[in-house]
Parts: sequence; C-alpha cells; structure tokens
Amino acid sequence: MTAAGLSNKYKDLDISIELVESDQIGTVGVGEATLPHIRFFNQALGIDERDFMRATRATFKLGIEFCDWGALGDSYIHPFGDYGEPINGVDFHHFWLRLLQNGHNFRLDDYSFPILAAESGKFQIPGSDNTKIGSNFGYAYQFDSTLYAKFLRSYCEDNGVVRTEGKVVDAALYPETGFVKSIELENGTQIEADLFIDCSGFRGVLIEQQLKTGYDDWSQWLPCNRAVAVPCEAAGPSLPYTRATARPAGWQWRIPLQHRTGNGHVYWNEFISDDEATHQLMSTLEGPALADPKQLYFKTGKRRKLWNKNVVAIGLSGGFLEPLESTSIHLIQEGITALIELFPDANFEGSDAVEYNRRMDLNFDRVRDFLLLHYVATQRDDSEMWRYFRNMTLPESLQEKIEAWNARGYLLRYEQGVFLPPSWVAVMAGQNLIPSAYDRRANTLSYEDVLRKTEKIRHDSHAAVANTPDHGAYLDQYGAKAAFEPLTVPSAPAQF
Amino acid sequence: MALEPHNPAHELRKIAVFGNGLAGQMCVAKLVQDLPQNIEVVFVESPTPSGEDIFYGTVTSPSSYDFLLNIGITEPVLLPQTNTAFSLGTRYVNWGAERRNWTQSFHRPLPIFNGVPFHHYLTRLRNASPEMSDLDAHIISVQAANKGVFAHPPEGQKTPLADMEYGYQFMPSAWRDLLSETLKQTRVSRVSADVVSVERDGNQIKSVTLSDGKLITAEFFVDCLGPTSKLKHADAKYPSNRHLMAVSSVTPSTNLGDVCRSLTAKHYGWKSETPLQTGLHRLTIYEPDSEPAALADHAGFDGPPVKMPIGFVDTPWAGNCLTLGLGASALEPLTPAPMMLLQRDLDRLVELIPVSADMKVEAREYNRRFTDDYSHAALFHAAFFTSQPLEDSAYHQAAAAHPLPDKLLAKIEQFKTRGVMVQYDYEPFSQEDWTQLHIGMGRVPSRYDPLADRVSEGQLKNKLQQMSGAIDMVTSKMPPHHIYMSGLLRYLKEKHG
Repeated sequence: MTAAGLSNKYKDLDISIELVESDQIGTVGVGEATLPHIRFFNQALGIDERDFMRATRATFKLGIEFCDWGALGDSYIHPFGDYGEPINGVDFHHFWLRLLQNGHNFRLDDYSFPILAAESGKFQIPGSDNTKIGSNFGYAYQFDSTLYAKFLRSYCEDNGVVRTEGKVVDAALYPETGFVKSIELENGTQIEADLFIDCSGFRGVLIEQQLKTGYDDWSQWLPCNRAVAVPCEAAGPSLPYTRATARPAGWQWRIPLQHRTGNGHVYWNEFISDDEATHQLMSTLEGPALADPKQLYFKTGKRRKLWNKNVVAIGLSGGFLEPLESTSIHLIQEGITALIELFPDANFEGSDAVEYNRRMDLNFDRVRDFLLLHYVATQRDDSEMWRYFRNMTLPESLQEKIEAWNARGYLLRYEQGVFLPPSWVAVMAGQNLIPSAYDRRANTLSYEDVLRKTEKIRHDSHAAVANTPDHGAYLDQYGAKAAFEPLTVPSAPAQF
Repeated sequence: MALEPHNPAHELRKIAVFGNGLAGQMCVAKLVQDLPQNIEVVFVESPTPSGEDIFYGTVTSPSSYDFLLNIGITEPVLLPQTNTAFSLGTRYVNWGAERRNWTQSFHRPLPIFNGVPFHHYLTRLRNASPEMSDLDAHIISVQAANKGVFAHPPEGQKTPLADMEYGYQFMPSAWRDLLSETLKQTRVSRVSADVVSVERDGNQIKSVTLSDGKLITAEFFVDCLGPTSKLKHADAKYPSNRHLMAVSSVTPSTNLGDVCRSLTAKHYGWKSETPLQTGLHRLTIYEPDSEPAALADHAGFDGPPVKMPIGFVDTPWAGNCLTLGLGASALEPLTPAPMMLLQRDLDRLVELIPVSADMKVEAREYNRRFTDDYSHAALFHAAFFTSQPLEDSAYHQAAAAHPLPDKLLAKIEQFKTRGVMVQYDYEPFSQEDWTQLHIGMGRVPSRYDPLADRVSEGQLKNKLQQMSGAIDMVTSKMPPHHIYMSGLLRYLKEKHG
C-alpha cells in the first residue's frame, strides 16, 4: 500500500521508489476487513472499484456484528453511519433515550439504514443525495489482503516502482548521524536510499533491529497476544458485514469474501492453550476448512517513534492493535497519508518526524481506547479474561468517556481520529450501557412530536431497506463479482 | 432494555443567571431558547451595567450570524435596531518591529488543487513571479475589504462571492440593550438587584441574597458578573497577573466607513477604529503603566478606562456554579476571539445543562472543552507576538515574554519549513485564519509541496490570473459598504415598517 500510495503521488517527480519484498515471507492476512476510508485511498490511486473488487474477491461491508460482547446471547451491529438524524441540533440517540424512559422498547438499530440493510443481507452503493436515508451511510470492503497486495504490486510496477525480490538481512548506518545508509539483502545486494519505509511486519528490521526505537507495550489494556487464522468454505450467500464473536479467552472473527470466508481466533494465552484456541476456532467454522490454521504471535502496542531518523515504520512494524474494528489497514493508510503530507527533503527536518509521530500517536491512542471499550463495557464475568477486564483501571481518556455516556448520553468528541460519535454510541448502547439521563434539550419537543418524528425515521429506514437489492445479487449486477468457482475442499477437511 | 422510570423529582428545575452585561444577556437568551419550558430561568441583573464589555471588542466572527439566528435575532432585527455594520476582517497596521501590514479576513476554505493546498502554489511562484504570489489577490474578502465594498454572499452559486464570509462590526452595549429588549418577550423571570451575600455549603451555592432583600435559590447558578463577582468560587481565579486597560469612544458620523476594522500597533499597545452605522468606534488597549501615552493618543473617551485581568481561569465550573464571561476569561480583543469563544461557551453550556444535582461529569467536560478552546485561541494570539517586538514597548514585551507553547512552536515550525498546517482538535481559528496570520507576520515557507510542481508554470499562472481576475471583476461590481447598508435598511423599513 505504501509503495502504491507514494508511487501515485510522486510518479512524475524526481523521486525513485524501490519496493523490496520477499516471497519467502508471507503476509499476516488478518486485515481482511476494512473501514470506509479505504475507498478514498483507492480513489486517490485512480483504482476502478469494480476492477479492485473482482481482483481481491471483495464483498461490501456495512459494519461489524458483535456477538456475545455485552452479555452472552447479545448481538449488535456497529454500522458505518449515523442513527436517525439530529432533531433541532440534538443528537438522535437522546430522543431514543427519551422514548426508552417513557416505556417504549424500540431498538436503536431500527433507526439505522446500514444496520437494517446488513441484517437483511442487502446492499447498494449510496446515491449522491445524502439527505435520503438510503444514501446517507458509509461502506467498506471485505477482501483477500494477499490478493490486494498482489493487485497493488502491479499498480506499483505500472507506476515506475522498481521491485526487488529479496530478504533484508542487515543494514549499514551512517556513523555520525545513525541514519540508515543502506540495506543488505540475503544475496549480498546493497540498496542505498535517502528514506527507508519499514513495512517488514512485527520484526521491524530497520525501525527496531537497527535503530532500537523501542515499543510501547499496551498488553495491560489489550492483553490478547495470539491469533490463529484459517479460511473456510462459505456457507450461504456472502453477507455485507463482518462478525466478531466474543469467546472466553478472546474473540473470533468471520469475514465473508466472494470465494471463501476468513476466520480467526484472537486470544490471550494466559487463559487458553494454543491447541484449545485452535479447537474452538475449527469447531465453529461455518464450512470445511480450506487450509491448515496459521498461528500468529503479537504484542499489542506501538513503536515509540513511528518515524525515527530516516526510517518510517508503517504497518505491523509500527504497531499492532488487534483487528477487532478493522483498524489495521486503516492505520497503514493514516501512516501513508501523513507521510505524504510531511514527506521529507534531503535535510530531514526534525520537526517533520515530530509532527508525524504526534499524529500517529493520536491515531493509535484513540483506536486503543475504542477497542478497549468493547472489553470493558460488558456484564460478562464468566471467565478469567472477562473478570480481568471488569477489574481493570482504565486509561483516564476512556474512563471519562464512559462516565459521560452513562450519566447523560454525552459523547466526548474529538476531531482527529477514526471513530466518530456514532461508533461510540453503537458500542456503548450495543453492549447495554444505557445512560441514566439524556440531553435536556430533547424535552423541548412534545412527546407526541418526538414519537411522530422518530417513527417517520424508523419507517423510512425500513422502507429504504425494502427497496435495496440483496448483497450477492448486487455484487453481480454492479460488476464486482469475479469469475470463479467458490473454493471448496476437494477431499476430507482437515481434522482437529 | 428500558431506563428506570422517569422521576421528575431528580430533574433540575431552576437556573439562576447573574449578569451585568452582554454575557448575562446572551446566556439567558440562549437558555430560554434552547431549554424546555419546565426549566425555570431567573435572570438577576445588576442595575448598573458593567463597562467591562468593551473587552468583547468591536468585531465578531462569521459564527455570530448562526448564533444570533438561533436566539431569534435575525439581520432584519439586528441591523435597524443597533448600529451594527458588516465586517470582513481586521486590517493590522504597523504590527511589530517590522511594521507589518496585512488584512486578516473571514473566508471559506481556500481551494485545493490536485490535492495540494492553495498556498503551496503561491510559495512556488514566490521567486520566479513574486507579483503573482500575493495571497491577498486571491481572497475575495480581502479585496472587498480593501475596496470598501460589500454584498451578501449568495448560497449555492459558483461565484467568488460565495467564498466570502462576514462577521459584524458592533458595540457590545448596543447588543446588550437589544437582547435586554428581546428578553422582555420571553418567559424569563427578571430581577434587578445587586448581590449582597452568598450562602455556600462547600462548593455548592445554597442561596444568594440580593440588595432588595430577596433570596434567590436555584439548583444551578451561572455567574456572569465579571472578575470581581461575589459568586466566584475559589477555583475561578485568573492564573496570570497580567492586566490590560481599555478605553473607547464613538466619533459620530452619518457616513458608514469601511467594512473592515483597522488595528494599529502602538508602543503602549494598540488602537482600533471600527466603522459602525452611527460613527467610528475607537478602542484603545494598553498596558497600565503606559496610560498617559495611551489616553493622550486616544484623545477623548466615553467612559473611564477599564482594567481587566488577561487570561482564563482553570476551573470555570465548580460545584453548582458556572463562571461565564469575563469572570472566566478575557482575551484581549485583538481578534474576534472574545465573542467567538463566548458563543462557544454558551453552546457548550446548553449541551451540558445538568440532569441532576450531581454535576461532576458536566463540570469536568465543560472545563476540559473550555480550556482547549481558550488555550487554542491563546495560541493564535501568541502568534502575533513571535517576531521582534516594538522597541521599548512594555505591551509587546509583556505579550511576547512568555515562552512559546510547544503547540505553537510546532505550528510555526511546520509552516515555515514546508507550509504544512499543524491542527489540533476543534480549534476556534481555521486553517485560513492561520494561513493569513502566518503570511501576514512574514512567515514564508522555505519550501512547498513537491506535488505543486505537477502543474506547469504557465498553467499555474493562468489559473491564478483567472482567480484574481474573477475576484477583481466581482468586487468592482459590489456596492460600497455604506450604499449597501443604506439600501438594505431602506428595504427592511419598507418591508417590516
């Protein structure tokens, strides 16, 4: 992604880009679900949406369904869109709270088009008139990240990026500055550059192995440290949403693609063995496994400086937050965007790195709080892990957010950061944090007016969904469906 | 899923607002407009209005239009009933030791071509074609201000005029009087008396005794009585000892002047001239020690000089009392910040009207956003004082004396080295404000975004010429400020009587 983003920006300038990759090193492949921002990345690259979707076997994504998070048996969808619409400048959820307080029992979800569409397995690209309920939402993709990498590789080469096959084994530093002078590949090739972008994954071959930048370990807040991933045959039509199901010692993802379903189990090895975690995953697949499960090890957190000297760490080399809210690819995108805006010249002004690190730190911090919210906004205490979270001392920034919500449905907002207020509403209300009061301004309307206005939104949302095509049919109709046979297991599935 | 049954006994029922000036009037107008009828609002007005309101300055930002509209004051009400005029910004004159002159205007976001912010293209042309690298030529608000012309920007039309934004040139006392009249038509209960004593229980106000012997009780108190209010709690103290003085006067005139305030740097501080419908409003701000020079230069004033602590308090909301207005914050009216932030205070207040007697969450969040807003506005003000100060000027030395905050250093450094804007959450001043200020202060990026080179020099020059030409053509057809205003007032009179 980084080479593609940079090559698009700098293709006709006097900047040469060399992509050093090794086919020996596979991709982690956990980031198969994305956030709506990915569309802007692809658009900026001039990528045709249909071409991209066919090439990566992508499906549309309206949100994430969370099962068993607030309590066993519960589920809710975190949608890419608002609930209802503000009334007289007051956020819609306050009026919903007023309805609840008066004994009504409507779901907040009933006022969200993307949730209702996801629940019905429906989708269509939003129209240009965003005042219409059926057009005012965001969407992302669920895709095969290995295919996306391949797709972008050819994009890079078309844009003049020189690709070099090879594994980085060493690097030389300038003794006077400590900047990286060159890298050395396994075959002895030396590659010099002014700027090195380290996308080497958890190892951080330059940012850590050479520059010893250090890592902020966030295991105290996000202690899950392992994952096991496996694809399986798709069962039934592909759904326009990702699912994240809470487990006793972690959680499990299910990402429906056109040709298969991606699955994984993220867990904390303190409370479950690798074998047991794998067993839990394999025994709950919706179809036969298509490969052997792949084991991953990680430590949540981020590099102390994502830009250090002349090395910028993007992707897993910069940090890792579990993919509960599909933020892995998004954080890559944020890193690329910030790097392009702050792209250095040969002088490497120190202020560029300072500003880059400030922006990325903010992004990571805010994603961390949002992820942690899922674990702590819960009534679950049925396992050691859930009891750990119930007794946790939260970061102040998150504690204050939860208190303000619980007291009065108020959302502490920020301007810079990926998750906007509706996302916080989705998770907090979805996990049964129901505020004890609401904004007093919601009482300026008579109760009858509130009922009438909210009912219209509910009715219009349902009506818009009724006129929306099925997701699978729309993929075909839109021209996004790849020509292929769905992947199936030719013989007996792997046994666990 | 259902909330606990509604229990009205827990609800906040009564708010008491204490005021002696503009902040109190605006606060009450906002509360009665935005809150439900079952919350009683009592307004205790001091019979002697404070003269401190001159620290709200003489210009407002474009956000005033929406704020006033929200509280029911439209331009057809505002313009005939006050001496308010339109404002396109402030012209700074002889600023700093470099004697810089520039116009800081109100403007919608500047264009972004091929993903590159506009000012990078100007930086690119700075050496090759300096005559084309002038930012002002490409900002319609500046050009209109320079020509003294005005017209309302149309909505939804593709014309340079649609990019113009405007605020108001105003007198706080005139707005205060208008609001006071307007409040007569509302449900607010009004009492005219001074505060004699305050009964407290810890940080909770139990009751307030007034000069007429009445006892005011409420669940929530809003103190708009200024820095010396008896309602002020111990935490609402200004952290700095710096004070400034202000003196003002209006020179009557039947000719409405420019659509832009002029603000001239002086050794003692600065003086501004703001055209109003009824005359020229002159405001002088100075260091207390420089009073003789300032008063001699001002030559005649309408009221005694006013002294004000400068800065903002740490904890405007403690217990069941919110300090609002000049008792909580006073930024010198060098920019429209004082009014802009007062409006933000009020927007924040109605969002956080307490839902019960326990106001800890509301107070914490109000205080957090208050501190962010004022510290970010203070960065903008501090950015006026980063160059060499005027020699022997106590005012400039005091304003520039503080070490620059890291946030401001980052903003300046990024702009100077490469024209990049460093932004923080919900800053009151926009990127356009900062761009104009940086350039006005002589900060020129030493390089520009290399992507600006994607356009050929010829194409770029054509584009810039088209832009500036279109702006020149539109502003040439716009009427002078006074003609536009008199026509508008005549029309309003015919329509509304």
